[in-house]
Amino acid sequence: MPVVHVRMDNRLIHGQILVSWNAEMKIDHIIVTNDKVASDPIQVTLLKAVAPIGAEVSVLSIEDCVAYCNSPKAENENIFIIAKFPEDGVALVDAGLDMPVLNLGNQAYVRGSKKLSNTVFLTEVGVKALKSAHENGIHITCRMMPADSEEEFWPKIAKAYPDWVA
Amino acid sequence: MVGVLVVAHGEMASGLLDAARMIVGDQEALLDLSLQEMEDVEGLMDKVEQAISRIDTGEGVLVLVDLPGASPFNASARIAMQREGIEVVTGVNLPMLAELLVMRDGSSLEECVDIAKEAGISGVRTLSEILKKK
Repeated sequence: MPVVHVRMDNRLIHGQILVSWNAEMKIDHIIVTNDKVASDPIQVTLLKAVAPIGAEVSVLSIEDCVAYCNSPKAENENIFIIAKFPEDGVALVDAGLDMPVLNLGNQAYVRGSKKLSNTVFLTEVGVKALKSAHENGIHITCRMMPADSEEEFWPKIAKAYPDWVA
Repeated sequence: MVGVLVVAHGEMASGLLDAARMIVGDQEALLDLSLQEMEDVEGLMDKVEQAISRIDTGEGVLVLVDLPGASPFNASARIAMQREGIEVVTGVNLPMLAELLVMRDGSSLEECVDIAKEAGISGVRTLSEILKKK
């Protein structure tokens, strides 16, 4: 399986990923995916420049990310995908990425978001996307670090945002 | 004088400034910023920009960050790539900060980058190396 992990993290590549996740998984290729980030030359340059030793970094639109992961080039790689927002992670699966688990990483506060924990603030768009993924049988986890629990996280989201889930 | 801004995870930056003050005394044009757990990179970029404008006297600002590729670095780098007179050095430690603070008066931004990098690297030693050297 080429894609070993999908993390939804609006800090994109940062300390926890470069240090903890890279030590846990043998990451060959980090794909950062979000349509806006992929079209910002400064962010693309910077993200590629901070690639950990031994790994390649790509910054792709959602469509290009799915196309790459389903291509023969991806077959021999361990790919770690970082989708910026929950809706980006869910869009990957909706567009045909074969991945049964989506992991919520850092979702720092953005305008319109509400707090779920110290590290996760979700927007209505994000919650609705996660709801549809849950209804389609996707297992949702919330792990900042590799050692965090892999238990199903959806009930906590549903409880925290009753108005948006209804 | 080149301004110095330290940006790091948790309380590291304020702790380093506190430690540096014990060694080199009170300083002007020196600020720290903490990345809080709940903060996004764009929010941190706003704070970095505000801090830079407070300490930039026209000779530039050197931003010292902890981990290369982590959020304090990413926020600072995105500003430095779009603006003249800002440089970023990673791996901030006390030898780097203390040396920079005593040497920066009369040094250009480019010279400060070299001073910081050199002092940061040469500040990492082992006891056995230090004992053998004499």
